[in-house]
Amino acid sequence: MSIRYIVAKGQEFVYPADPASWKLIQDAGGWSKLSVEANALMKHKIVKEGGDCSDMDASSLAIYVARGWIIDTFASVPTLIPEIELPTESLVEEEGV
Amino acid sequence: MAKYAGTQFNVFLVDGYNLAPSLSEAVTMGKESITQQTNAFNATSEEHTPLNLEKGVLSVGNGFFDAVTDPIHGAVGSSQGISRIVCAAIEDNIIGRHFMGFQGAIDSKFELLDSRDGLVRANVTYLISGNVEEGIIVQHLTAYTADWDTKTGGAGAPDSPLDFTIDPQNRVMEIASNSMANPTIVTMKTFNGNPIPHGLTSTDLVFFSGSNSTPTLNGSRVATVISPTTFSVPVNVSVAGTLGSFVRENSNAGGVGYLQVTAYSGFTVCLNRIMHSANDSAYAALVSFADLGVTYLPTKARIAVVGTVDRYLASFGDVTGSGSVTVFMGFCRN
Repeated sequence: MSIRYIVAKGQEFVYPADPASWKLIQDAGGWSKLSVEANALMKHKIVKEGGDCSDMDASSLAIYVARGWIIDTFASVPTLIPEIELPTESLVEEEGV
Repeated sequence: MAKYAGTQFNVFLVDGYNLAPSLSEAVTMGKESITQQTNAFNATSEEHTPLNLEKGVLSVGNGFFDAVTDPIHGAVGSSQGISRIVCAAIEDNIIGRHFMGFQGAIDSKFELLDSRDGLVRANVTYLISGNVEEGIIVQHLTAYTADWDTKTGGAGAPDSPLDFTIDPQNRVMEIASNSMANPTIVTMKTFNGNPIPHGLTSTDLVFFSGSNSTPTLNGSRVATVISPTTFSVPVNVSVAGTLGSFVRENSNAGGVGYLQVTAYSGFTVCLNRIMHSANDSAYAALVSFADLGVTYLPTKARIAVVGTVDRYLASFGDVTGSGSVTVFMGFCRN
């Protein structure tokens, strides 16, 4: 399975580890607003540079991809076969002279 | 520049030494603008022109110090002329309160006043060679024996992250109107007939309140700058508004992180970080301080960062082994 989002160089993220934890945060209005009980249920993960963070929630991904702190590998697939500029007819003629 | 009683200081950290318990008399600290006298020789009154330079001022007067056990001699008495990092706070040792950071503080004068029964009374005057920065305490000076993370303190907990939108240093900006359009165009209020510049750059996040358009702008919005006094936000407004205000949710000129560690034992790895978040959900590392490792000296650090600094700030500690660390962290937005 291909990895879509990776953490850019020099960055590190801490975020909810699963959809249930993300929902806890959404319901509370923020991580810092979780009750002690909800915090006990909360699971988080730490991903350092070069790590796969494809399971981060979409709204956070949108913010950090826009800033370049997370790289969307699908959006930056390198061109494997470079385009070759074919010589124009006039150039061919000149080379033949 | 202000003068404080020594007892007002809850935090007075010099190169990892906490001097607050040692301060018995006056402390003067602040920053002042340097000016040059520029009046003509025959002028009847003085004229001073700012040089666009600031100078930090910090002095500790009449402190009583134990010459044998008190750390102040390690901090100021034993070696003068060393560049130092100072963090001082009078608003209590609480996350979210303000502190002043002094970079490159050099103790230029250590004046011994008296010595009796192992106690030394001295005046210390620092010449500040670098910046003086006003910031926020992200991690109050406290001891930890395991990993910590102030964003997980829970609702109402004292160890919670900082919200820039409620920081008194974050200026509330009033708007004059927002247009019936999609996106709506916000025009700043005027002062003496002149529109007040918003100071934003495109993609800045702003938090509106008190808006009376339909729909309202209230909440978090992304600003797109049109001119120094107008900007648009992506809201389809059907009835224009004439009221509202906003504060910035983030800042975009970087800042400076401060670390002071006053005690440390046992751990083999101790990583201290200041984290930031746009949405209080996913947090990114903003300032990563060097690992304290196994060799510890009273530790201090000052690290400058560039770019966007998000709305929420939290401290994060990652330790290996068993032990204890007493740490202070602060951040100053530019």
